Amino acid sequence: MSAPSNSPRRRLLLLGGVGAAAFALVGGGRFIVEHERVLFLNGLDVPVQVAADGAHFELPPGGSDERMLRTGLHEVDVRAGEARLAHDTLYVSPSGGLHVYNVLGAAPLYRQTITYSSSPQSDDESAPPVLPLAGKPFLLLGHVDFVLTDPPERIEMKSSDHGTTSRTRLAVLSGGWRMSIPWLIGTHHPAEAARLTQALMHALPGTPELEALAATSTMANEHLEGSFATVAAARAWRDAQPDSDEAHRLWIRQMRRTGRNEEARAYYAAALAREPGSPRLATMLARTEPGPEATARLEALWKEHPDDPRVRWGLVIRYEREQRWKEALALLEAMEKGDPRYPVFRETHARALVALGRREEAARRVAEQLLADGAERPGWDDVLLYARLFGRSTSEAEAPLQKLIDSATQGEDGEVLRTWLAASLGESVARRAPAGSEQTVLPMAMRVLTSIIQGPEAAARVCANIERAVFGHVGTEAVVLLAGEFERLGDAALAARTLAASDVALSYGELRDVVRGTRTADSLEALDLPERAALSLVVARRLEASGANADKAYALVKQEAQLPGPVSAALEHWPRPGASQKRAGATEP
Amino acid sequence: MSSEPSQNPYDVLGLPRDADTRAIKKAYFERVRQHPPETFPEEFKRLREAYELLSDPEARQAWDARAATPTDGPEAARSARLREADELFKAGDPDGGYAVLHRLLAEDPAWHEVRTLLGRHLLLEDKPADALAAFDAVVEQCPKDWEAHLHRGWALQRLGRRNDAADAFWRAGRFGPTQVAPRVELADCLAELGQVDDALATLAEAQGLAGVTPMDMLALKVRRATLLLEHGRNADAARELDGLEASIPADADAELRGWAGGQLASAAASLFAQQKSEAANQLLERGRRINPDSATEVAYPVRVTLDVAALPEVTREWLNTEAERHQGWRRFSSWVWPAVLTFGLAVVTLSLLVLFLRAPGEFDVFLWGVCAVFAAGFSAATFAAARVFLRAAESPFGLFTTVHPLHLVQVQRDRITVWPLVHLQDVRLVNHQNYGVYTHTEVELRFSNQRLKVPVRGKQVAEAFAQELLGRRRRVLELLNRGMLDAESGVEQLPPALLARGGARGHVRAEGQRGPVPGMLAAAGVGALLVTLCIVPQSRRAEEHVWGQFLSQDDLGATLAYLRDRPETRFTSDAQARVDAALGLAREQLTARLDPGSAAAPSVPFFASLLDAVSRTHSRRVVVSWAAADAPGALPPGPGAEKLKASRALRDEQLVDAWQRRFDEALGQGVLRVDARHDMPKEGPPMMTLRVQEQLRSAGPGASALEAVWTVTADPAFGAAGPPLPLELVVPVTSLEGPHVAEALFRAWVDRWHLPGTGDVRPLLSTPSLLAQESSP
Repeated sequence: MSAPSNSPRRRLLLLGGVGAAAFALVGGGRFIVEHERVLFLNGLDVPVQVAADGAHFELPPGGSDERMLRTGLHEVDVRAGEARLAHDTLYVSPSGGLHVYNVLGAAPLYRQTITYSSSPQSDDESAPPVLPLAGKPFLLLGHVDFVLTDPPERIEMKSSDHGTTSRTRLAVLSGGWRMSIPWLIGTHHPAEAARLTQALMHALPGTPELEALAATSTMANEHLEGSFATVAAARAWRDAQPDSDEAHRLWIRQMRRTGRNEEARAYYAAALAREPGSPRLATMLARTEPGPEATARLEALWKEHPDDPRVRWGLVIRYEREQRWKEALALLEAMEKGDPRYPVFRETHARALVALGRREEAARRVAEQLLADGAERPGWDDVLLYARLFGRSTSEAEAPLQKLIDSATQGEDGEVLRTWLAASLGESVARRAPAGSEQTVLPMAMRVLTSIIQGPEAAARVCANIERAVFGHVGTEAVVLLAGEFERLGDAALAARTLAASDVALSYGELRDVVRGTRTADSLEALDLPERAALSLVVARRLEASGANADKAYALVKQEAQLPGPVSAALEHWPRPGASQKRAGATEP
Repeated sequence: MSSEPSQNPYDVLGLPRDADTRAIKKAYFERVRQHPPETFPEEFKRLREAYELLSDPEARQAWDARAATPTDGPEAARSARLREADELFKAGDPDGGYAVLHRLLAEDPAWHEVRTLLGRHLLLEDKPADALAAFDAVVEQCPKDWEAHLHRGWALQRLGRRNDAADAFWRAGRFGPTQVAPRVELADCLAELGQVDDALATLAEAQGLAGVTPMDMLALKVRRATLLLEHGRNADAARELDGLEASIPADADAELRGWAGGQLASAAASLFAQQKSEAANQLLERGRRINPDSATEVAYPVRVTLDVAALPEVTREWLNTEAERHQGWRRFSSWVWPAVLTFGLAVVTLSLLVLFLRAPGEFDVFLWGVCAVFAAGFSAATFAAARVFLRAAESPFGLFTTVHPLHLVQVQRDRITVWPLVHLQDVRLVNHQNYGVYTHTEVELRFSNQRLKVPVRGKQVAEAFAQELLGRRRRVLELLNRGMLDAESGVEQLPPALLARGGARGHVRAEGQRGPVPGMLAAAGVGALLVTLCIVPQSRRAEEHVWGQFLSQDDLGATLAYLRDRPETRFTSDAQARVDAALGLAREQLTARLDPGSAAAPSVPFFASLLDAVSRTHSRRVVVSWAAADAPGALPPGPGAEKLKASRALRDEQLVDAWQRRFDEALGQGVLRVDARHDMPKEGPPMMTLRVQEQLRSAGPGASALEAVWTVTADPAFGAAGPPLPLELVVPVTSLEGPHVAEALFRAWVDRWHLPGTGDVRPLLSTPSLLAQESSP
């Protein structure tokens, strides 16, 4: 064998090849390192054209697209046809992970952690917790195992998992932005909901639902940003949609809550003067007026517009407030036959029947309505109404209450609902909240309702440390009762906090005045009968505590508290206040 | 010495009987030059045997004695019988030889030549005790025979009786007053006994003997120098060698120089054998100066690397032969690993440079310095690897190890590493196994102070390799000792003189070929330059990264922090625009919320001025600082103090919460941040500080009623749009304790400034529930 040889050219070619390979490898590596996955999502109803990093692509409504963008700053331009929806400076970080660009934050995006276990005993049937990510246009997430794909039922375990492992999933609910906003509100993310609504209103002007959603999200955020924001949002909705009764009603209600009812009344008086024949403005004006004036205005209006449902609704409310049950019943019977808003007045209808001594009929009719073929699935409040009419939270297997519970829970375990019913009815031996429930709000609400039986001090201990959202499941009757009693006992801070946590149309000032006796509960036009009964009970206790004769006041309470509930429970269980106890109104130096 | 020449060695080398060692050596080399071993192998063998016999004093003396015996008469008959015994010994029949000698002694016990011959053969047969008995008998017969004492000394020395041996040598010297040999032996014996000074004195005495020839004088000087070097007296040895060098005239003939060099080489071989490589090299170095003509009597570096291109043609041819024999031609694996290394280093270097260019972090001067060092280092390493790769691709050789007559040679592509065997001091074989299965043997070699491991497949092959190395080393030292190394076959293939060119660095580079250092320095400079060129674009990228991170937080506070921390970057205008957009939204909220019909409408200019201040100062932080009139240290002692302290801490929190609530209600959440003097590094210095001084005072001169007073000041003071300051808030009280005082004072403040909450009877301060506290068990 002879000595092998290489020509200089060949050697240089070899070296060049090595250098070129190194360049290619480093270049390829940097391309991978300097490009990150960016998931683009469109939660809008319209297709959008996205321009980012020199790429132009279209996202269909509810669609998504995954792109590799180089790390660094990018100008992202989103258009729907000619209209520019958004222009953001997007920073794609080199730190890795999944970047998400959710156009305007509209898509109802969420992250879920799914836990897999090799042990069948530890399988948790409840759905894994969900973290809503909607409302934020840009997100940098860590590693996500399943991006917009369904996770498998089971996965292979490694020995290092020790029998349990978890995976993350990124998914989008259906419904687009219409789902995102209520979902964020419902999951206690009102700030994100408000921000998303604002962004959508700027991007999609003229979308009617947005104004309502903006007001709703602002309402949900009221505990943080106060009533000025909610009044402004309601006013904006009213101005944007002057034909929306809901917008007007909300604005009136918020104005009343902030003590500006007279301003609202002046507004509608002026508006009606400009447009005298408007039933809408007339009914809205009636809402702001004192009871008799409002009733007279509505009765006159009813004569002029006998087919206008708004007038009828207003009159029903007025008659209910004035306990003119026969007149109210006549209107309600008519509404039952075809008014689409009748479900809102179902409880009023039932109360009218009860007031007229037809409680069994009321229960029967409610059950028939709720269990009728083609009827919507009954809500918990509907079941509670029937239970109140029925008188207790338990019944035989085939009884309407049981059917309603089954229907409301859709065949799932109805124990939580039964427990809530028992607590809401003020039953002395309330069931314990079922263990393992994923919802923390409902058990706390049951604790509040159960504590009412034990007395106001026990309720104060519970209410002092609970989330605001709990009061949504407690009911306005209980809230007014507790806030009034706390105020009577001298704890103005707790009274104000309890009242603010609910959406009852009662300001703290009004509450304070009634409890102090400088105003009667009857003068509070916005309160319904149970709420007024609650205030009446506080007034009766104040009278009794001051040594005055409270018999009439207690009689009024019994008259107003037609159905079993927090007021009847307090009447039955709360000890009578002695004259030596604290006097209401000792809240200021 | 394997065997004696069958012919007269003097005739073979063409020498007279009285030829001295210098003449013997000269004649030998002349004959070898005329009959090179490659062409005349038989003749070369004959010449070498003759030279080896004559260069060994004892063998030469024995041969001379044999040759001097008469050839006729009674003496001739006796000599013939002695020759008969000698022939039997040479023929490998020592028993026959001894039998003849014993018969002769039985016939004539006084025949001391027979005993001397018997003793010498017994010594050769390694029977020193028997030899000593024979020599003792000779000494008894001839007590003044110096040679008998010398022989006896040799026997005693072999028996390890050094003191007796020294005595015998001393006696030999005494009875041979002009003889050098007994004194040299005595000096060696004394040196072995550790009496170095006595040994040196003995050698000095030998130098002073009458009739000492110049050659003996030189030999004695070499002996003294060697002795001194053996015992670490390097300075004395250097002086002795200087003297030796000076004793050789400048015009001395080549033979004398060659002889002197040979003496030094011989002594060096002895030192190499004693594993004193450094001392041996000193002698060889001196010998090289005395006799520059010798090819092998040169200092041997422990290890030398040589570029293949630097090798002479003969060496390359030998390497080709060895490559063919060991299948050591370049293979795919010979150059692929340098290629992979080059590729890897190129990838790392390029990656580093790209990293420095594209890194998102902010680098300071020190970090840039570190980057430059790294880039320079890896660029230089890449250059070096590429150079190795190119040379590997150019060289026809791969990787193999072979043994040269004088050296162990490792061939590594374009470079060989030569390990002269004279330095080989230790050989070990270590068998390696993998899960109990033999894989290979590692031949661990120690060359002076350096170690080498040569992996060999096969135990027997490894043992043969080790044996070959040891055998070659032995032969090299023998030849060096006898001054015959120049004539060793194959020396010219890798001449030791070539190794000497390596100098202190031990590397012989090809003529005209540059070393890697200039290229590596240039590559390092290019690397550092590239890093320098990265500074500007990387700084821009880091700036972009920082801005991007702030941008991703989607928070007004983050953008304000960016503007505070980096007031002058290319993103400042973007940041300011984002701030202004957020503040614009807040202004919209403000005018929508505090509409003209609301009780808080008069406070719009106040909030608007705060928004202007945010835009201007890039801070959204408002400090609300509440303080009681008395200092904290003035709190009354006792349990009341703790209560008061807690109450005051709560007052701080209440005011902060209440003010935060005012701002959130007017402007929306996240626009302004309120705190109470706490350190908030994220929010930076406060835009405004509201100071509240609380005190209790009498309601008026002579009045018994008390009133609580809050005095409010602001820093910086408000402009014309702000409410008037200082503000004094007064509430009649009975004491400062209790939550109602602060509530009333704050309500008064809200009412005076028409803040959100004015006209609303709701509690404005977040007071803990008294009812819950009182009813708690």
